[in-house]
Amino acid sequence: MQKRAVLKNWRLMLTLLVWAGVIIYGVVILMQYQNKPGITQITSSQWPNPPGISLAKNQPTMLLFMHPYCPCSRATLDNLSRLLVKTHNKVQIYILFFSSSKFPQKWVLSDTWNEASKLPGVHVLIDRDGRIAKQFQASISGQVLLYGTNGHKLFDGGITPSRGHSGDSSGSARIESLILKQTQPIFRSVAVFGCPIQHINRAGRKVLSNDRLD
Amino acid sequence: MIDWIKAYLQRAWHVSKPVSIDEDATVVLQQRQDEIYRNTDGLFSILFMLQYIMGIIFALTLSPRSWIGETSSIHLHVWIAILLGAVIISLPLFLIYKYPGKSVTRHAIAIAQSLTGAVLIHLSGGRIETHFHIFGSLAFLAFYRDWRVLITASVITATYHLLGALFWPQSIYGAVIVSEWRWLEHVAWVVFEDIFLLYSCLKSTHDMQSIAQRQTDTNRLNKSLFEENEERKKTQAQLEHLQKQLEGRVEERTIELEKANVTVEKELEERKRLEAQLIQAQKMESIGQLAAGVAHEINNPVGFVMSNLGTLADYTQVFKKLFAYYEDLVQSLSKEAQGSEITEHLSTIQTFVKEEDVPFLLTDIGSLLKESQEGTLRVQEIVKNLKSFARLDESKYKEANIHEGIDSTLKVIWNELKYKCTIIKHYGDIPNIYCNPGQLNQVFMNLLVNAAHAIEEKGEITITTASTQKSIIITMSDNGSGIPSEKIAKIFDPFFTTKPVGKGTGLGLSISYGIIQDHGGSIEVESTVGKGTCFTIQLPVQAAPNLSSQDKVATS
Repeated sequence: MQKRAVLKNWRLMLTLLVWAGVIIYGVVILMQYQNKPGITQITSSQWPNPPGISLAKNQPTMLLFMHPYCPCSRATLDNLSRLLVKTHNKVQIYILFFSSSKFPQKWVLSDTWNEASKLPGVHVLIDRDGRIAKQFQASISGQVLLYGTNGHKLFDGGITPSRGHSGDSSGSARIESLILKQTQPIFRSVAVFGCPIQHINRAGRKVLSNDRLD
Repeated sequence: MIDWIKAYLQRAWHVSKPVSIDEDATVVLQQRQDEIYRNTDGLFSILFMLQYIMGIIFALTLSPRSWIGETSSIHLHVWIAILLGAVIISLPLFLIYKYPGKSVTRHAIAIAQSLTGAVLIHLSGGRIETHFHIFGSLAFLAFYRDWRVLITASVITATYHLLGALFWPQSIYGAVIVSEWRWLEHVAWVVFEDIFLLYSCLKSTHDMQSIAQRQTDTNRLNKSLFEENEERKKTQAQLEHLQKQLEGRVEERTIELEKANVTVEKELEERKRLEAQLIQAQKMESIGQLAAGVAHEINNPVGFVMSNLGTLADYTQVFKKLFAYYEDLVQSLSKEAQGSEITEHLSTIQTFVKEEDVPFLLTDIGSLLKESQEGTLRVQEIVKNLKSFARLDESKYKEANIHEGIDSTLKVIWNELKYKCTIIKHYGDIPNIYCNPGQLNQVFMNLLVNAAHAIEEKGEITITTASTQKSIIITMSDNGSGIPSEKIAKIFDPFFTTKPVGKGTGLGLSISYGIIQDHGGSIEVESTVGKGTCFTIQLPVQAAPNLSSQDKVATS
């Protein structure tokens, strides 16, 4: 009787519906945000010879652009560490941390920086005012560029499945394949989930969804 | 092996299948379940608050701000933790407050807990460790011992994964294209835990049902025993009530009977006292009349005997003088008339005088007369005392001196006292009182005679008198044998006596008591066995006479 009375309480039922609706709405926003990739530009297809870093002659060279305080990019480092285990000494890796001249130099020394510094065989560099990123047209924290020994771009995209989420991702799988199996590159960009490290010229942008943009 | 598994499963089912219980046991079970539901609701209310705080801490720690180059803003996760987290826990907290223990509350809690897990997983960056929250939540929900709640939570988790797989497969499974059944892999682990938790819930419910039935049976037995006990108590109370009523009636009757007995006894005592007083009065009247008659009859002859003795004494002197003359004559004649006839006569006289020792007789006559006079005087004194004791002419109340009365009484009974005791008098200065002296003398006589009787060989009787402003006090104490304490209360009862049969009537003290009462006074006794007895009489100086039956008799 009491149970029926509670269920017959239309106010309560209405409250339940409103509650469920608000939650669904909130979850949808969360999921959309989490799965919303960053807006990237068309990156350099050839190695642009940036200062301070050089293309490896006997193995691919990977560049990872990072914002020191992007919370989503922490997952990128997690995935990179997994990738390192699989591609041990088979790829040259640079992690380029964006730093601004508006801030003191130690601004760049964030937790993410410290995490990156602990990765073995990885060159962690400061990209002052994002100059190198601009050379490569990289715009999102967590964006990975892979170049072959001949300077041709092999991969452009992210290595996390969504914002801040580590774990299996299509980007990681493709890089792993390119390095270990030396498969042919497929020029289908992979979504990058992270904070923008520079403002993008909207005329030259390309929008990436979860799926693909060639 | 298969048989063993089959048997084991059968046993497992046997200990977890629903138990058929009766209505009362169902009520007990529901009460117990309601208690568990409410307690678990309370625990979840605390858990929700902790999780909410933890979510905000997660957001502020792991993703406080989002950046665009050099500029930053608050990260969406912070808002999600604060706002969505609040929304998620708001309804279950409201229901816990409003409808604690209700089914809708439990299911809302299950939904909210599953969603909280999802949000926490997102806020923690999808860390695999945070996924354990789901399994912990299911275990926590199993506290309800309600398998339906687990189903609700599992359905929410499964739905979340299904929708994630449909709309955002890469975020959940790390691939752009995943199998349409891939979400079941995640759900399967939830179902895996559910199997144990559901079994645990079913077994727990089975146990609770069994316990409820046992408790109900026990309660019934207790109730039956209690009712029986109550009935017994009731009957006992009725019996006690009736017994009390009966006792009350008996007590009332007893009191009435006692009152009646007391009245009868008093009347009887009064009657005996009056009879005794009447007898005593009649006796005293007879003695008084006798004494008065004897006194009168003796007084007259004694009077003339006394008178005659006086005269005889005078005459004796004449004869003594005459005899002296005769002797002188005989001496003269015997010298002058020798040998004559006169001589012969003289010789005869002298011989007679000599033989009869006349000189001695003449001397002894005086002594005899003197003793006779003294004896007569004593008779006169006795008669006088008898008259004083009887006081027939003093039967009415009059002003009298108590000391005179005591002395008069002592004289009357002196023969009884003089060989046994010494009388010690301590007479104080007391006024004359208005009294019936004859009656009081009777009291004194009774007390003194009793005192003498109490003294076995030789003792003392001390008489003391004193006065206060309105009364006089007379104490008569002896050092005789005393009165035992068990008898002292009865000494004023009529016909009560400690004396041998025939020696005492048992009326003396009773009459004395009545006389003192008639005088408006009091008489008290103190006695110690072996040391003696002391009677204290108090008499008012101006007593209003109560006309007693004796007076009435005496005056009639």
